[in-house]
Amino acid sequence: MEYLIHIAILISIYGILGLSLNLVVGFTGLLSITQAAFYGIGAYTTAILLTGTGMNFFLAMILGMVISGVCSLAIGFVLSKFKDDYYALGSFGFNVIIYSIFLNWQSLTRGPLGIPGIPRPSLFGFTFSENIWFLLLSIIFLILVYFVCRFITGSSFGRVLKSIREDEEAISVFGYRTLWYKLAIFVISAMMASIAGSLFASYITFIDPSSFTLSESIFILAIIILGGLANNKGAMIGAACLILLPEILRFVGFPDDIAAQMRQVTYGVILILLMLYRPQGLVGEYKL
Amino acid sequence: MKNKYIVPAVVVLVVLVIGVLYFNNSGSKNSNPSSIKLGLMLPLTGDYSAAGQNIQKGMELALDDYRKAHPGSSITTVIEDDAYNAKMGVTAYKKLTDIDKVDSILMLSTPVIDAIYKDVVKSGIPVIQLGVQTVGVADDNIFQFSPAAEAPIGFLARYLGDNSGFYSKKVAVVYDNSSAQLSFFKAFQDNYKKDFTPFIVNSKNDLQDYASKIANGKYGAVVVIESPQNGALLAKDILTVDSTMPLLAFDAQLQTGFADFGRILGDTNKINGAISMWFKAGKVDQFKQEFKTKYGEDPGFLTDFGYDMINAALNTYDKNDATWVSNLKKFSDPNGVSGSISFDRDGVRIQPMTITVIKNGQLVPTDQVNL
Repeated sequence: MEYLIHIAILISIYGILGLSLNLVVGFTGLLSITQAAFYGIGAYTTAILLTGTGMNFFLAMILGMVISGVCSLAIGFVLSKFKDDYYALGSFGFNVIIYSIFLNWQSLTRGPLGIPGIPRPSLFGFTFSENIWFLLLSIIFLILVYFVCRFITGSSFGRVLKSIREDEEAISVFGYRTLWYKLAIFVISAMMASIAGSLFASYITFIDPSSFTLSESIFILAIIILGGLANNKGAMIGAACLILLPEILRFVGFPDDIAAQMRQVTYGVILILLMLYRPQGLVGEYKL
Repeated sequence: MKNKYIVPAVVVLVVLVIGVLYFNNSGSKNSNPSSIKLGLMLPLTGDYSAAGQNIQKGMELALDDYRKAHPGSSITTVIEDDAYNAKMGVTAYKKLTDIDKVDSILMLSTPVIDAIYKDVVKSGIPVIQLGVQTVGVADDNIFQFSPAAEAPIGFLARYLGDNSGFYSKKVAVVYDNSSAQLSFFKAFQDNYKKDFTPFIVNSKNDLQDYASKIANGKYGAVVVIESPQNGALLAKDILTVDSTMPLLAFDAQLQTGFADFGRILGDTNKINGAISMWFKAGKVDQFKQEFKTKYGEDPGFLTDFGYDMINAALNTYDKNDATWVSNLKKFSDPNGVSGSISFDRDGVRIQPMTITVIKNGQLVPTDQVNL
């Protein structure tokens, strides 16, 4: 059952990432490709504090959220100067910058050597060393993040975000300072992504920059597009589908010498077909 | 499909997958005691796919030879892609051990072994790992099939540092910013006690830039600690800028990736005089011939290591994990195609080394080079 528990943990972590990005892309209409950067900031903060200072995991997670929040405030402020495709390109640039910092600030992050030996969380003397307990912990965080997202999107704040998505100029005419709403949701999203990063670092027990590249941001974007933009359940369904699909393909009997490559091709074809016949995603309300 | 059917459909899919996997997973570890089940976990996609695919080819050739030599033997392999990535590697490892119940795992990727280290030690199954372990080595069930970075690179660094024909020149050291090459660079830095200028390569674009800096900066000697492709591209770029090639010193990749140098440079006479450290040669002629017969090409980078990894695993096999690990610790083969094979107390391969030099476009082992 270890393999299945592992898959379930990954689905939980990516579910949190999908929910967080959905707030920015799905509900606010800002095409952001920086999520892996905040995911990475959370992971590295947790890893460095746990291995370097022996700090408690939950405290390290909170600090990771704070650092992600501060970084996202600065990044979000710069990105607010852009719109549409330029916003996407700008966010792309920030992801590359953060990745380069992970790769090259070797005195802090150990660069490509990564940070090994990250301990599992412990609380009141109980250590989440068994994967089943870690799965429970990650599901608890997933549920918490889901309810926070549901609260935000169901509130008046959420309605303003959707209005920004539909017509930012119109909503600003009514006196809403859209810059602050966009910044606020960007920061909240980054802090949630940081939670996922902390869980990932502690679960895998080793992180290196290759886990937080632009490809990872695009993967998280694919989760919410597949699941359905502006739908919180869709983000979780998208995570489940995109994590499960390559695992199912492992059991398809491709010849050994081309199996890995055929799985990638098949995965890509399935995604294309899904987008052709269901462009709004599995349970989506809105198309990009 | 209507929205209300999507969620139940996904739930049904998840339950089906769980059911198939769980009920397919019958019995305990490898229920057929007379067969051997090997898990091969390699980077078959991504930046290191060339290395992974080469190792796979070497392994498959070794399996063919073993089956011919041992008719009636039952060996199955399960091949999984880890893309040289910790997350994918952990997933592949869990599948190999939990679903496929393999008896042993042969792998390459450094980030993956670092991520699964504790689980592997806990499982007790023998794991033969080609890449270095940055988490550290210990007397356990993991066997590092390449020597520690310290040994070969330290050997090269001390050789160059003792040779005034080299260190009297202005020296540049160019290395890839990857986990393996960074370990090698640190080993070089610790052992080469003279001055040098480091150049870190993050992408192929850096190679052209550094080639210009090396040529224009009048560097007389360049140490190259990179993948074979990048090493060859750097040499080509330096030649493009300035036809006077500085003295080049390579780590093992000149030897292992010599075919890549030929392909990229077109003519390896262009780097006559270049030196490399290498492990004292194994019995390669028959291996090269068999490889060419099977695949229609010369063996590339790391194929010989893949071949030897399979042979080391199969020639020491015992159905009891502790005995198998013990057999591996005592294993010795002076005639490995990648060179002599034996392990130290921590399961790291020991290999005698030599210097090779390019003469008339060919690699020639030598005891002394006039630099």
